[in-house]
Amino acid sequence: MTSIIRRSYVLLRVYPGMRKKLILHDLKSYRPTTALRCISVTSAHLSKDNSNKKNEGSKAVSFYGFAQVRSKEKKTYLDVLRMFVDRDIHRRGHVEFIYAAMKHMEEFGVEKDLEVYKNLINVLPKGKFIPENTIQAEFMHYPKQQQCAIDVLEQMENNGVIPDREMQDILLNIFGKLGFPLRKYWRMMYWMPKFKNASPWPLPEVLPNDSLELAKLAIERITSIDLLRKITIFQAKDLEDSIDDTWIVSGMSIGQKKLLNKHASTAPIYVEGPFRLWLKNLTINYFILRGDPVPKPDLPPPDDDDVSKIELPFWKTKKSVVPTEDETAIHEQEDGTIFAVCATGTSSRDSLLSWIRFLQKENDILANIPIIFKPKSPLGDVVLANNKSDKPKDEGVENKVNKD
Amino acid sequence: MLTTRMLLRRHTSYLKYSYASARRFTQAAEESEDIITSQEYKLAPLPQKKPQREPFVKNLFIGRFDNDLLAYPEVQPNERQNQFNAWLAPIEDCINRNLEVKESNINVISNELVEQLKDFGVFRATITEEYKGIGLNSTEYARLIEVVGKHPSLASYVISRTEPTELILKYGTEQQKQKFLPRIASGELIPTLALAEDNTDIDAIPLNATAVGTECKRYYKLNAEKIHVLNGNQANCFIVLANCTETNDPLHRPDIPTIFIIERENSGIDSSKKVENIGQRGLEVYKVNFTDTLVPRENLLGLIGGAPKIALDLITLGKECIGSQVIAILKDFINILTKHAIERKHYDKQIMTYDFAKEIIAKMSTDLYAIESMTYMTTGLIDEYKDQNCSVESAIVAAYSMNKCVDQILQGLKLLGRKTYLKDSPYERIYLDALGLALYNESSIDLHTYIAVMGLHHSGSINSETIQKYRNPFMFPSFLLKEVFLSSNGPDLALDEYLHPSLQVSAKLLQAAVHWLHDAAEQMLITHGTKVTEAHMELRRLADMAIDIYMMTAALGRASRSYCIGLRLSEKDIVMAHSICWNAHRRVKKNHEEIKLGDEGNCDDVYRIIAKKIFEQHGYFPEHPLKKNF
Repeated sequence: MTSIIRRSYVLLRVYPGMRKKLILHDLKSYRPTTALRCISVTSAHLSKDNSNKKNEGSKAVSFYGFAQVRSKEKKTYLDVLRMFVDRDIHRRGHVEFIYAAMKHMEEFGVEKDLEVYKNLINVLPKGKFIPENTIQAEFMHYPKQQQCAIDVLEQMENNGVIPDREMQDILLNIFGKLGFPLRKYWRMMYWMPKFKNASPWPLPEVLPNDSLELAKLAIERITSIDLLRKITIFQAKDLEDSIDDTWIVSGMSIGQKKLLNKHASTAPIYVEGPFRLWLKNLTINYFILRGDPVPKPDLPPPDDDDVSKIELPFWKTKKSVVPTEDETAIHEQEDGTIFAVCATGTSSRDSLLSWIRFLQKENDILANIPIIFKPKSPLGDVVLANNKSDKPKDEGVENKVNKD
Repeated sequence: MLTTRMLLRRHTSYLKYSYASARRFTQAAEESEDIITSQEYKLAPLPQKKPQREPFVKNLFIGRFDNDLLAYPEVQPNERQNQFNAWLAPIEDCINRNLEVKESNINVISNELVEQLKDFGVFRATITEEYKGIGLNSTEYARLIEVVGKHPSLASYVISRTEPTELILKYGTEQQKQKFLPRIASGELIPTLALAEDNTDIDAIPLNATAVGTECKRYYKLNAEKIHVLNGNQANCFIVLANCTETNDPLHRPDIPTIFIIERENSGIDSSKKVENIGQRGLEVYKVNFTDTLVPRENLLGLIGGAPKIALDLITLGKECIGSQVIAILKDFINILTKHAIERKHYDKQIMTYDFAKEIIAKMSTDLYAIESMTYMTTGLIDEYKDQNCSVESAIVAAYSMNKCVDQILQGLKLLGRKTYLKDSPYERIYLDALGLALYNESSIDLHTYIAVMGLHHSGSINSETIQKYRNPFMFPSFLLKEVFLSSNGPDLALDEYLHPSLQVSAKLLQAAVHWLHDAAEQMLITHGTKVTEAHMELRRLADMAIDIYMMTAALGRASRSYCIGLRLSEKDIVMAHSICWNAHRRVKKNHEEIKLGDEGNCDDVYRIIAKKIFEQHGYFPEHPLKKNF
């Protein structure tokens, strides 16, 4: 009994078109079930009051109305919803209407808009679908309508839209606290906020439109493994004989610099890419500067059990058996040593050349190492945007010393 | 050729000195007599040292307790002690007079004061008589520092001048000793250590300074930039750490750390850059640059590449003096605090009637008692036995006294209340002095690691076979079964037989603590094997246990001695020893339990996880408590 009364108060709070005095009066005089029935009737009457004249004779308008709308935007989408709600008292075919509306969401660009979803669910009439006893509740009272609401919530979930408390009130008014959509809603509210923050590389909610900003995010993400990362942005036009005028986002840490300085100048290093990185639904191409893997000395594993001569951890001498793990170790992978990564505005060979020349300013040793450009990537050959057509597409050695 | 030049140089420097003294003599005629007497001051010879004993604290890690050391050491024969006290009295007077004149005097070290101390022979105190010094032993030197320590920065200044001397005494060749020590004793040379470099950058290698052998094979050419050089502008003899090489090949960086003695008359030394420091005002810190300084080959201290060994030794060499410095600071502070508690009111009662005041003052005093006991027990061990290895003991004194000094002064400031907040109160100076002492010296984190690692190293070298068996239990099943069924709780050490009977209870507590330390050390070796030196959270606990046990031993020995010979108020010594033992016992028990629980049980793993995340996020990561998610 009390729960039903409370539910009615929720209705009072939320449902805007209700005449409050009337309902309070009804609540006092009628049995609860009647009261609820009364509410749904009232709401229907109210809507009739507002829109009777306007919608007179508009039955000819297509039932779903979405296809006819010219400017596809949120405002017009909400207009269509309102037209449907206001058309007649019975809202006949609301389930079909909601399914149709869901299909058109992406077209209108509103598939990530919480307010639109709330309006969509609001199309369902209030009160009528609330189960009145346990048996009704367990056997899915008004299954079609409940399934419809669940499908709307499902679409929200797929689009990563987190519902809010008002959504809960709306659903409570429609299906009561035992409705299946409510259970779906509560599950969503448990998990979705958690998944929202689960990524170790958080991105802004709306990705920037600028490709430079995106590239910065991408390189930041790639280099995040090394805490000493340093990201620099070069402008290719700062170099004298660069062809492309573009930006280069380059990531190189101190450890990588050290590794590069240790690299033997006879062994070549490679510029490889493009590789693809996804940022939400966008991709960024990036390149790496890689050297051949350095064979690790095959030391016998240290004998941890023999404690007769524990090494003192103060002044490390060269004789120490256990090699110290320093900031360079993380870049020495099995398939090669990675010296730097970059993303450029054009991804062209010329921009990569500019990148290498920028790196050379800080790492003199690069002048002596042969550098091979390898269009090896899961995406196929490098597309050479501004390159002369007579240049061979396959591997070519370009020694930086000669070029300069 | 070289020798004649050297002789000439030495000759001129003597001239300089004699001029200086002549000038002084003309200034004050009545002082001159004092000076002459102090120059010739000689103490009665020390008794022959006893043969070396096994290292005391290191042996605790294997559960061995040297009962004889419960008898608190008495090193000085009476005759020498009287002479020493007679020598010390005017120094104490001089410092008291200096401090009485003005409170602000404590913030400067005036040249006048330094000259006076030099005339008393303070700066040649540790040099042996052979090289024209006075030849104080460690105990007497610690007492000297305690007296000078009323002026905290002055004590640090004195130590900064005597520390290099100890290095030369220990590692120098006979020729080097003859060359430098008499001149240091005469005050002509002012030595200081220049070891630290600014290597805070991630790029930096630990040691940037280089010394390259010249072609004529007589010199090294030294380039270095040293920071934290105490007294750097006044000093004219630097002990410098640099990487050394013979060839001048630019492709090969020299990488053999070596220590040199450099006099200022070698050109290319610039020490004009002063660095501001907190606390210990009056002690001046400089940045010193050496550019292409030519160092004669014979000024190489120790061996080529001998620096790591010397540096390891420097962590603890003479560090028991920090105990003396802390004693002086804390004693002064307790006296100020007592006066305050008696004379001031809190609400309507005297502060001294409140329990909180009693607690703070009593805890501070017991800590001071423990520090005193440990300091003079350590110096006693050094003096009583020949070549006694006391590095861990020194580290314990330094680590414990530095930490406690800052902590206890902070507690005391709370009792003093709001007036400490005012700028012109002396309390800020006292706190900063203590803080400066703790920050300037070897960090207590390193000292804790040192204590624990040295203990484990000792334990490992003796118990390695047992540990090997424990770590591979299925290879040694009979051993395992024996250990399971026949393990005992450790033997009865019969400590109470060496103490006054009234200390029996505390002796039992000490015995339990020793067994726990042994057990914990073994447990750590079994768990981590040779990687034990990386488990710093447990090393810290183990070091704390060792510190507590050493503290109990020293306090018990001292209290027992005072009570037996009937010193004034010695019955309260017993009470103090009891309270120290009871508290230390509790701490040892807690640390032992935590080590036994292992990383999963004692929260260490959690700390590692949290710290890792903070490093990954480059700072504090939790979201603000008011942040909303939906």
